[in-house]
Amino acid sequence: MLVLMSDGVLETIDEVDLIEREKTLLSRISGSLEKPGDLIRRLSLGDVTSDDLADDIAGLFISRGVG
Amino acid sequence: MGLGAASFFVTPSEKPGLVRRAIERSVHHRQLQRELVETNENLARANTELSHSLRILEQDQAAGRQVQKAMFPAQSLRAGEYWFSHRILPSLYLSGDFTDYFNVDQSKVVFFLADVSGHGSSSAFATVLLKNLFARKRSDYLRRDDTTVIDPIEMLSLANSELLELHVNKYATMVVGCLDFETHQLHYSVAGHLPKPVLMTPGHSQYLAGEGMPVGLTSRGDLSTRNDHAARDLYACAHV
Repeated sequence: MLVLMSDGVLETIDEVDLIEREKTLLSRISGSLEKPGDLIRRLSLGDVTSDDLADDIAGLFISRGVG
Repeated sequence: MGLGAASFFVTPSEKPGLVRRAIERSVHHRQLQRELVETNENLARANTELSHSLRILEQDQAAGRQVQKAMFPAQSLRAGEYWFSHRILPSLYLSGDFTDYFNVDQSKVVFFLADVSGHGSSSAFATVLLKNLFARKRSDYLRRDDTTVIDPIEMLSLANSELLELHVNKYATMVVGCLDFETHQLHYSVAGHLPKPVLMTPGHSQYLAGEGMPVGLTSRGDLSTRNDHAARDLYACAHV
């Protein structure tokens, strides 16, 4: 799967250093996925509301697979 | 009083100045009370007007949110073996993040994800411009054989020009790509966007290469570089 995300997702990670945040993001989303929605849950974004977010988050997922 | 307390009271006839000052204080006190009542009434009126303005603003923002939601892809897109889907989580009513994907012919899908600087209405308006730009170039491809829309660098260059011409001090980081689902070739360009695209394969995830300037910052021509990737690497994944 190819995953494109906006930098708002990095704001949800506690590390101060940007490089560390990127590493953490990669480790959080790594592993096999049943569907793109799993990735949202893995990032703990399943139930967030606008009030919980410091920045907008956008994700675009391109996968090969079954419909 | 019988014990002589009266001796400690000052009678008006002895200190006429005290009576005058007492009366003045009393008048001043009444005046302050009237001013306080008037100030409270003014504050209550201002509060009512503010609440009314806020309700109108919220209604405007809610309407804007619905319009923006209508601009996102209505549903996931299937293109050959590939599935495109998206998720948007705005931090305010309106989002400065935007994404879109669409078929341009029988074998190609163009997609992009943009993050406009700032939040809220002004950033959301810039996303309208980007949506319009890609729709326009798609139309040019279909009607005039103008291949700009399938060239990520050309699209970034156009986005750059149009944002600069708006003079709204808005810039955007973007990833623009074109997937040929017949030949399984993926072309994409990155304009200052973080995090970079992530390629997830079984047991391994990695950031893909890509660098360049955000669009809307400078009129320089060398904004980004083209990156090619074999789309076969996009492993099978059940669609949402």
